[in-house]
Amino acid sequence: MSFTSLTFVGFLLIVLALYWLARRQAWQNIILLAASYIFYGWLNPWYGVLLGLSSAADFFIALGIARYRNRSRALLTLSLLLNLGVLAFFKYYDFFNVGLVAQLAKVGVHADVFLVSILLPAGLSFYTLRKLAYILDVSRGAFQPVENFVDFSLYVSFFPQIVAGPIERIQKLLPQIQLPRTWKPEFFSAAWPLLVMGVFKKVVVADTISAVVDRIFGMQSPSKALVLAAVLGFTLQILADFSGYTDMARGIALLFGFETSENFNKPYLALTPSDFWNRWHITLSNFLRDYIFFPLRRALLKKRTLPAWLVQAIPPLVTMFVSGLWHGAGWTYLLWGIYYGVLIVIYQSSGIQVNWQQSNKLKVLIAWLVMFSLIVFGWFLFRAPSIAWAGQVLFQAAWLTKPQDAIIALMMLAMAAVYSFPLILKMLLDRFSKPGSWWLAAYFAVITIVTIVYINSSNPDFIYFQF
Amino acid sequence: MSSFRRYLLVLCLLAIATSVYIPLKWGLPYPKAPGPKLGASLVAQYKNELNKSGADLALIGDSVLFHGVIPDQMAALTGRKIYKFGVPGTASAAWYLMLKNVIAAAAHKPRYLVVTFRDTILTVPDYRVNGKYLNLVSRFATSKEPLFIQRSFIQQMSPVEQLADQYLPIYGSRLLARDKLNYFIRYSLPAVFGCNAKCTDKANIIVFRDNNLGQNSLTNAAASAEAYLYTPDRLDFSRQLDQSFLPEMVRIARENKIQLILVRTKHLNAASEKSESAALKNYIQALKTYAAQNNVIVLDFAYDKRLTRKLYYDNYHTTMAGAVVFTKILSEALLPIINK
Repeated sequence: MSFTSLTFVGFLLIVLALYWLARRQAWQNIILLAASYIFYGWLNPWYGVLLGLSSAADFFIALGIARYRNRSRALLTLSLLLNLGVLAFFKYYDFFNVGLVAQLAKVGVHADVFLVSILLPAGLSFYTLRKLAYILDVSRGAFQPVENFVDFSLYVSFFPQIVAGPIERIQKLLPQIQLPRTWKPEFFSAAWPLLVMGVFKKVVVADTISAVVDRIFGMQSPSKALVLAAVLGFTLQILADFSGYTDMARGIALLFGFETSENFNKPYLALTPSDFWNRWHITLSNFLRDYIFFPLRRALLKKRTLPAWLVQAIPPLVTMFVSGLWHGAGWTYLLWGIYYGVLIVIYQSSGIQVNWQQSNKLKVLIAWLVMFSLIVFGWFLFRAPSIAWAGQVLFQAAWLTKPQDAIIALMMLAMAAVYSFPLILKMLLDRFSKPGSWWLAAYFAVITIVTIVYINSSNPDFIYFQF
Repeated sequence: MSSFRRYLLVLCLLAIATSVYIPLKWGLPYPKAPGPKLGASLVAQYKNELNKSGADLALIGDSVLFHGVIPDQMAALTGRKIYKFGVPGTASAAWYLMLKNVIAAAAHKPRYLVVTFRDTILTVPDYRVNGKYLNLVSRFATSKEPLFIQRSFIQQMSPVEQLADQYLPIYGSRLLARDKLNYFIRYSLPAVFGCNAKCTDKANIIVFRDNNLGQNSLTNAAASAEAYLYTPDRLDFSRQLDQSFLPEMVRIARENKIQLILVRTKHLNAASEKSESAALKNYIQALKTYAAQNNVIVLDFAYDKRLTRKLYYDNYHTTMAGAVVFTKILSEALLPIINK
C-alpha cells in the first residue's frame, strides 16, 4: 500500500476515525498496532508474521537482559544474531545467490534464480535498526525495557514509519505512545503542509525525473554527457523521493498526535562530507554515530598503541562502510560507503571539520561547489548498475558518442532544473516569508494543482522501451 | 488553522479559474463525459489493407506477435493468405477494437482469427490504455466507443474519481495538461540550441534504441509493467471475465462467422510448468473451459520445449531464428483446424 494510492487514503481515513473515536490511550494503541500490521501485511501477510515474531523475540530478550544482568552479554549476542541474521538472510541472500547461480551457469548447471530468489520484506532494514538501538540501549543500562508488549510492538511497527523511516529512537516515540492523546487542531495544522509537499515531491518531481534517469542508467554504454545529466537528475530524484516519503510519514504521524524526527535538512547545502551526513537521512546518521562511530572511537582511543591518524581514520571508514552495506546488497553501495569514509578522513586531515565556517563568501561558494560535486559523484557510484559499468563510463566512454546524446543531455538538464525550482522556491519561502503567510498558502495551492495534473491512473502508465 | 484556510481559499480560486479557463481554451464541454478523449483513428486505412490482402487467416497481438511470426513463412506452410496485425504496445482493449472495427467491419472478412496472448492479458481491460498508449489504442477506435471507455476507464475509477473527471477540468484534462507542461520542459532547452520538438523526439528514439539498453534494464522494466497482470484480482478469471472485452470478442467473432483461436505464447519469466503458480494454473484452466463452451480454440505454447531459451532475445520476444521456429510450430498447430 503506497502512501500516494487511493487505497491508502481510504485506509488512513478509516483508521483515523476509529483511532480518535476510541478515547482511551490503550484502545488507541491497539487500533494503531492493528492498522500497522494490516498496512505492513497488505503486500504479503508473511511480512507481518516475520515482524511479529522478531518483535516478540526482542521484547523478551530485552526483559531478560534487565532481569539477568549476568547473562546480558549472551542475550545481547542472541538478539544481534537474530536481527542481523534475518537482515543478512533477506537482504544479502539474493546478492550472493545470484553470484552462485552465475558460477553454476559457467559450469553448465542452470539453477533457477526465479525460484530460489527471496523477496526482501519492505522496511526490514528500518525496523531492524530500531530494534537494535533499543536492545543496545537496554543492554548498556541507558533505557529500561518496555513491559507492555503492545507499546513495544507499536514502537517497532508504527505504520507511518515502518517502510522507510525515519528510524525513530525509542526515547522519543515511546513516551508519546504511553501518554494519553486527545485530538488538537494543531496536529492537522502541522500535518497538512507536510502531506501536500510530500505528495508533490514524490508524484511530480521524483516519479517524473526517474523515467529518464532510469533509461540512461539502463543503457549499456552511455556517453559521459548523458550520464552527467542523468546523475544530476538522480541527485534531485533521490532527494525528492526520500524526503517526500519522510514528509508524508511525518504528516501522517502528526494526524495521530505523534511528533517524529526530521530526516533531511537542506543536505545539498552541506560544505563538508560530515556536514552532509548531519543533514541527509539524519536518523540513520544518528544511529551510525551513536552505535558504531562513537563506541569504535572510544575503543580505539583506549588502545594507546595505535597511531593517532589511524584512530582518526578507522571510525569514519568503518561507519561509512556499514552505511553502504545497510543501503543495499551490491558492490556499488559498498563503494559508495567507502567513498564517503575516505572523503571524511581527507576533510578531517586537512582541518576542515564538520562545522567548518568561513566569513569569506567566495571560499564558502567554492567549498559548496566542491562538496556538491562530490555528492553528485557519490550518487553516480550509488546509482550505477555495477562497478564495471561505472568504470567503463569513467575511463572508457566518450563525452559524446553521437550528436543526439547532447540533445538528450540538454533535455535531462532542463527537466532537473525545472523540477528543482519548486523545491528551491520552498526553501526561499521558508526563509523569507512568515509561517502561514499568503505566499506560502499560494505556493501550496499551486503545487496541489500541479500534483493533480501529475496524478496517474490506478493502472501502470508504463511505456515499454520498444514502444 | 488560519494557514489552512488561506490555502483552501487560494486552492478553490485556482480550481475555479482552471475550470473556466481549460474548457474555454481547449474547447471542452463542461461537465465532460467521463473517460478520455480519443486520438486520431486509422480504422479506414487498416480496413483497406485487410481488404487488399484478401487474407483467410488474420493474426492480432502485440510485440510478441510482431517479432514472433513471419507471415510469408506461415502462408507457405498453411497455403492460406495471412494478414498480421502485430502492434507493439497493444493489449486486449486494442485487440477488441481491431476485431470490432477492422476485421469484422471489413468488406473481406478472414475465416480464422488468431489472437496471441500471454497469461491473463485477455481479461485485463485497462492494461496499456493510459498515457501514450491511449493514442495507440485510438488508432483502432471510431469516434464513439462506449464499451471501451466503460471497461477500460470508467469501471476502473472510484466514484470520487468519476466526479472529478467530469466536474474538475484540471483533473479530467490532466493528460493533456501534462503533455503541454512536458512539451515545454522537454523541448525548450534543446530548442535554444536549434533542435525543435521533432528533432528532440528523433534524438530520443536514436539514443534509447533497444540495442543501446542493457538486457537487465529491459527485462526489469518489462517485468515491472507485467506485474500488473498477476495480482490476485487479475488472476481471478470469473471476476475479470465480465469486466473484460473477451465475451464481446467471442460474440463478434461468432456473429461474423470467424473462428476465434486464442494462442498462449511462451515467456521466460516462469522456468517450467511446475513453477507456475496455482492461481495462474486455475486461471488458464478456467479460460480453457470458457473457450470450449463458446467454440473458441485455445492453443497453449506457454511451456513448449521446442522454444528454447536461445531463441529469445529477452524474456518475451523471439530472435529471428525463434520467429522461424515459432511460425513453424504455430502453422503446424493451425493446419488441422483450417483444413477441417
